[in-house]
Amino acid sequence: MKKRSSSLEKRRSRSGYLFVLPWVIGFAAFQLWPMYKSFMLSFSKVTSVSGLKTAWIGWENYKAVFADVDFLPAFWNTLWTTVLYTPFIIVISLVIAILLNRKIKGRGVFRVIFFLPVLLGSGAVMAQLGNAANIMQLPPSIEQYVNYYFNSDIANFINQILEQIVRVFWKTGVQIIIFLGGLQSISDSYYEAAKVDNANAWDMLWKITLPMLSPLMYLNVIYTVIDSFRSENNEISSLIINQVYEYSNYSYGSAMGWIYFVISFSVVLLATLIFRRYVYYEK
Amino acid sequence: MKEHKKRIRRLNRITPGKVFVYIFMIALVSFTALPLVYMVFHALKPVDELFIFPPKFITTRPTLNNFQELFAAMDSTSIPFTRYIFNSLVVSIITVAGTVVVCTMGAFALTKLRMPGGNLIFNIIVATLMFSAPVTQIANYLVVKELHMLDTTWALIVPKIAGSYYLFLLKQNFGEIPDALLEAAKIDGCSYWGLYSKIIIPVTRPAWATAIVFAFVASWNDFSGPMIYIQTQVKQTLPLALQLLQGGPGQVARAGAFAAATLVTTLPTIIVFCAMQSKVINTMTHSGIK
Repeated sequence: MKKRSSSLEKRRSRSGYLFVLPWVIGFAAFQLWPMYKSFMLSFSKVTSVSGLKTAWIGWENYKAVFADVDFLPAFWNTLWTTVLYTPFIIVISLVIAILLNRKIKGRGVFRVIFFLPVLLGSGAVMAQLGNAANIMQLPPSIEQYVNYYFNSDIANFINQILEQIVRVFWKTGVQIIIFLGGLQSISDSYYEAAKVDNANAWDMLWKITLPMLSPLMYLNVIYTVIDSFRSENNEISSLIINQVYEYSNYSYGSAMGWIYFVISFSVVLLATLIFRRYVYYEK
Repeated sequence: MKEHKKRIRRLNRITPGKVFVYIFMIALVSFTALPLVYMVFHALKPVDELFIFPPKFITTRPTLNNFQELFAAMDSTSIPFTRYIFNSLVVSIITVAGTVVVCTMGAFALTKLRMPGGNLIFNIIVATLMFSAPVTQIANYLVVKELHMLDTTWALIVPKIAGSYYLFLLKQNFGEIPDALLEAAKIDGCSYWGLYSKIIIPVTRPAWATAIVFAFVASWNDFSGPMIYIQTQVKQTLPLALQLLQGGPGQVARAGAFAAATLVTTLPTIIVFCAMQSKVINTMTHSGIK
């Protein structure tokens, strides 16, 4: 009996490897190997760009990155922006998802519109419309109206707030969808049972919705942080892209990329450790 | 009875809460919908209105001239605009199909077959999610070159299929499917492939519908891929065609066509999302995942 179950186990494992194999091959070829290559590059000096011939120089590139006057400020800015915006993005997308989950008229249209930034934001189309912050300057610009109706101090203040709203908003599309999926999967019976016990909406939010959503909350926090770190608009990314494409400093850019990776990885790991404790899994 | 009637009336009444929800939603929506509305009106503007300063947001004399010009102009110069649309469709559809098959299989293996080393794979996935793309781009180019895929459509498809993000997303979702669902079928003598294709795939429709949306948007909007890998103009996709329309001599003459092209390029992603959105919402409640 015991022997049989272990052979079954073996068969299951073998099928498992077969199923995951196509993914692993693609992953190894197009992510893992390039990462290894860039890792080696970060310790080397490119001696000939045409054949990408390199010479090992040890930690030189890394030393140069930390001596770079642009690197640390850009890094702190990126980190600070991420830490500052993530809570806002999570809370706002949660609120919108809860509202979108209510039986209001036209919620299908609302759902599509809230996802628009994801559809437009990464596209070539936005190159024409400018980046997210520029929506404020779209004609007839909201900014102009505000400037027209208020004196300059108040106008500045209002415009700044509006700009922040747009920035946060432009990043909530995916998170809203993830939350919505989670809200849909919470069984109505929980709420009905709570209603029988005379629970109000506020109690139900804290005692049912949030605990049930916590795995997705965790997913969303990680997603938001990674999205912010990986965004090609953040200061570090532009620094790296500049080094690699403008100056063809492959090895220096790689070193920068690896330092950035290690630090952002630690931040995400920290976020993971903090949030994992609060995640509730339905048994 | 009286209590019941009162409750129904309360449900149908327009409460301050409801009004607040609508006002709040419309205010928020106006932020995100603005660019699209602008794009639509811009594409419908007659040529003289395109250059007015300050620009007009809404046109009073809508026309389809820009679209006619787009399809005619590109036709006479060299490559018809429809060719770029075709290229983009081919690339995106194959990429999405490949992504969904490869990643659902991987997620099934990691969540339900739980072989040794599976956790290691998953941890590597999570780690690589954070690696910044520009750093690996040069090595990526070398791989594509070694596989003799440079300047072919495959260069835009194959590197994208084994995406970490999709596997991560699907694995999270597949984990919620109770093992009992599979045990019953296994006792009936169902093979692992049978479990995957007959149970996992139908049950996880919302999850992979979501993956379709993301994979499609990423592939459709990809700009750096075609820029790096494709040299032959006939094989180029829409984002690069847009750039071609926008720049170079005759840019002003093509402003109308460009406005129309922008809208044409944007619409498919919105259509795909609309189509999948209803599926995501509906299947979620009927899929038996609770």
